[in-house]
Parts: sequence; structure tokens; C-alpha cells
Amino acid sequence: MRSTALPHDATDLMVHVADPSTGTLTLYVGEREILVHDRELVARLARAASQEA
Amino acid sequence: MSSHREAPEISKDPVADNTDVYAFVSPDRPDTVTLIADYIPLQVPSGGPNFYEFGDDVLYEIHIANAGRARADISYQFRFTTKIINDETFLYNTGPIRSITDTQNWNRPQYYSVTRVERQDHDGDDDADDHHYRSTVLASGLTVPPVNVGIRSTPNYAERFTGAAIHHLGGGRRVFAGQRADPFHVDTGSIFDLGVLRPFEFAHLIPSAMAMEGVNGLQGFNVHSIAIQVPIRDVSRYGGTPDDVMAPGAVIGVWASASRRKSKVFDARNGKSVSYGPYRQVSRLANPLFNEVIVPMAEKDLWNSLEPYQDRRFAKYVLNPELQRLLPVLYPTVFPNLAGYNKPRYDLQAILLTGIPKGVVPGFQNYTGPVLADLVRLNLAVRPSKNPNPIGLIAGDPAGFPNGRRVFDDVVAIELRAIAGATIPLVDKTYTPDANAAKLTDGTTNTNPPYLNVFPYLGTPAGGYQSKPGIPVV
Repeated sequence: MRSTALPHDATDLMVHVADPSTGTLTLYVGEREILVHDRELVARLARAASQEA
Repeated sequence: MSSHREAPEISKDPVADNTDVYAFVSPDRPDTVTLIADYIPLQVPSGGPNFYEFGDDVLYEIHIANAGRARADISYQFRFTTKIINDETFLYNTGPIRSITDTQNWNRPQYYSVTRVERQDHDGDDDADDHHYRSTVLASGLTVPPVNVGIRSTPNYAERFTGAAIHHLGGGRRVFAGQRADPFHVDTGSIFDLGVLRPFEFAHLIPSAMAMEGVNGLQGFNVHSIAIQVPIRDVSRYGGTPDDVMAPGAVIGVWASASRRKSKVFDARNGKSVSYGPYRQVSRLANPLFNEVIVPMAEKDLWNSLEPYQDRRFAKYVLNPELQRLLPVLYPTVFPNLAGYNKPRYDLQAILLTGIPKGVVPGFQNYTGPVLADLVRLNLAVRPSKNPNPIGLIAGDPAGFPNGRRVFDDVVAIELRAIAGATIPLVDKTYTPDANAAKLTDGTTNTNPPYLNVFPYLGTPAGGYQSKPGIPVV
């Protein structure tokens, strides 16, 4: 089972998808910024964002 | 104003808004340099119960470029932490605050750390990729003095709090961070009303009166200041105290900034915002009025996010400033020579973007090289003046603006005169300035509490109880 623990410098994290067509998302963790390229994950997030609350 | 609310985005974020930057060889300790950055403009002294304070979520910095790259070779970073001592009162203080350590009556003290960051090049050249930064925490847990609430809450403010809030960092270094009287003065009420200068308003396109005294639009307002005084050797290029005015290594460039973390979310569980990610610059300042009157409104927010070495894109606004074109329109008979001058303003480029090279002003230079960058340039080899003139270099006082900036330098008058053409002959001997160019002023003087002769040099902040608000007129 993969760990779901966050790095020691963070209690939570922020995800920003500036342009879903690029398949890139940005993680803000503590004072760090991490770029992740994952078209499938971005597509799932986009689909989730399209769902009604 | 100098840089008070000078751009649309930062005007909505006053806690991170740079207002003025000062850099000068300390007149009472000429082996040191004093660097001051002011933030949080237009503080009404009575603005409680949540009085003005530094932002815990803002990174405040003062930068020094000493290698001609217009990049930070040395930065001083200031990080603040606020505490609530008594969570059962709405009050800032529950009795007279007797000292800066009086947390019995002072409910919301603020503390800060000072970190020095130095760029270190591995092989001594300017290869941008071949360097790293060394950070040293100079001090932490330093106390910010309370704001000047009034005679009961913060009695004898000047004597009780100013000296106590000067913290010694060792080796002759000292620092102050806290509320002060705004040292800048300018007639905002008239200047923003179609460029009126009250002493000359009879000559304005829409004349309204005979010559009048200026009205200091910053009268009665406070700011929050960060002042640090360090040995000159701490910031000079080669680590010594320069004594040759004409030596290239004698000049440093100074600017200040404020940064916020890249992402911010309102956490409804606590009713507070939470920030994420790295710090990104949201405000910067070097020369007074640069972003305010040189950069067009559409680019001001961008300018605030960039670093000085990226200023080449704004050089066209220095070479052909909008205000130069406006002056002959607003004052139709006053500036005939300026109206006919169509050459690029290389005098302004030298003053604002490169420093003044050798051969322009006899016996003086503050040139930092060809990189076009808005910096307050200070020649460290120029000794403090025994008879300082607030008009600075153009009045024959090389220890004043635009060689650094002292708290009393009348930068509004200096820059008005420069833009009106008084400094064109420095680079173009064929030009004769209009007679009134050298007389321009907004007519203001410092009407806030007087400057100090010693560190931190800025006047005592106006007190909430003692100060009366302005008089509204429609």
C-alpha cells in the first residue's frame, strides 16, 4: 500500500491546474512548488470539477 | 506618492506595499551605511483596535547589488510573527504599555528575525548558473515596538520605545522595525488633480489661484519602517570601505521588496487565509516615483513582480517620459524649450537606470554598468555632507539623491526638475533648460514629526489620541 503521508514541511497541500490541456498540475507543499505532468490525473480532476456539487 | 498605492494590484494589499527606500552613509557613523524600507502607507494613527502591523505572511527584503549585475548579491530578509497574549479580550492593550517587553498589558506583540543572504560565485565570474546563496540568521525573536496608540496606552512613546526597539546584531550592526512617521512629503491632493503644483497653479491650463503653499498629503500618517545599519564593508563589492569616489567598486545598488506565497486559500474552519508554495515578489521599490509616474498603469503590476535586472523593457518610458510631454500641455507658457525637445532623455536614463558615469558631474560617479535597472545607487566613498542640501546632487551636494537617498532629500522637487529638463545639459550641452525648470517644486516640506539625527532617523509616529483627522471639504 502506498503511503499517503505528506512531507514533514506540510500539513496539507494545494493543487493548481492552470491549463488542463497541458496535462500539467502544480503542487504547493510548504514553501515548495512541484510540477507534475500526468494527463490522466489532470483529466480525472477536470472530470471531477465538471460534476455538480 | 513615492510608491504609496502606486499600482492597481498592490494598492489592495497595503501590508505588502513598499512606500519608500532610503540608502545613505550614516552621518553620525560614517563607517556604516543605513538602509531603510518603508511599508504600509497612509496609516491613520487612530486606526484601532486592530492597529497596523507587519504581515506574518509577507517576506520583507532589502537587497544590495554590488557587482554590476543588478541582481541581489546581498539580501537582508525580515520575517514577522505575531502573538495574541490574552485570547479573552478585544483590546490591543489592557493597560499602559510600559516597555516593549510588557506583555502583561500589551496583547498583540510582534517579533521578527533578520537573515542575511549572500550570493557566492564559485569561480568568481558572473556565470548565472555557477553560484549559490548562503543564508545566515543574524537574530530572531526581536521585538517590534507597539504602535503609538495614545498618551495613556503608550506614554512617552519616543523615549520609551524607540531606543528600546533598536536591536544590536553584533559587529556594529543594528536594526529597527516598527511604526514611524512617514518621512516622505508630497502634495498628492494637487498633483493628482491634473498635475497641479500649487506654487505654479496660476500658470496651469485650468488656473485657480495665485501661488500657494503646498499641502503635504501625507501629513499625520504613519508607515511601518525596517531600518538596518551595517558596516560599509558588509555590503561593498570587495569587502572594504571604499575611499576612491571614481572607483567602480565604490557603488552599490539598493532596492526593497515584499513577497507573498504563491497560493492562498481561505480556510473557513478558522476564518483565516492559509498560504502555500514559494514566495513570489508582489512589490518592489528603489527610486521614488519610478513605478508611480514612469511606468504606465497597464504595466505597473508586472513591474512590481520583476527584478531590477529585467528593467530594460521599461527603458522606453524613461527615455520618453509621459510627464515630460504633459508638463508643456498643463503649463502652456512655462516650458517652451522642453516642448521642443524630442531627443531621448539619456540624462534620466543615467539617473534612474545606470547611474551617472564618469565625466558627467566633475569628481563624481555612481555608475553600476550597462545593465538598465531601477536601483538607488549609492557611492560609498562619498562622505556625509557637513551642510546637507535636500536638493542633493543637482544642488552640489553629492551625498544626496540621486546618490543614495537621505530621509530629508526633497525627491519630488528633484525629480520634477529633472523631468522638466534641468538635467538635460548633463548629457546634451546644446539644450537650455526653461527658466522655471530649476524652480519646480510641489511646495511641500516635512510636516510630520521631525526626522531624528540618529538611527533610525525617522520621526516618532503620530499618536492616535494626540492626532486630529483632516478637515473634509467638498
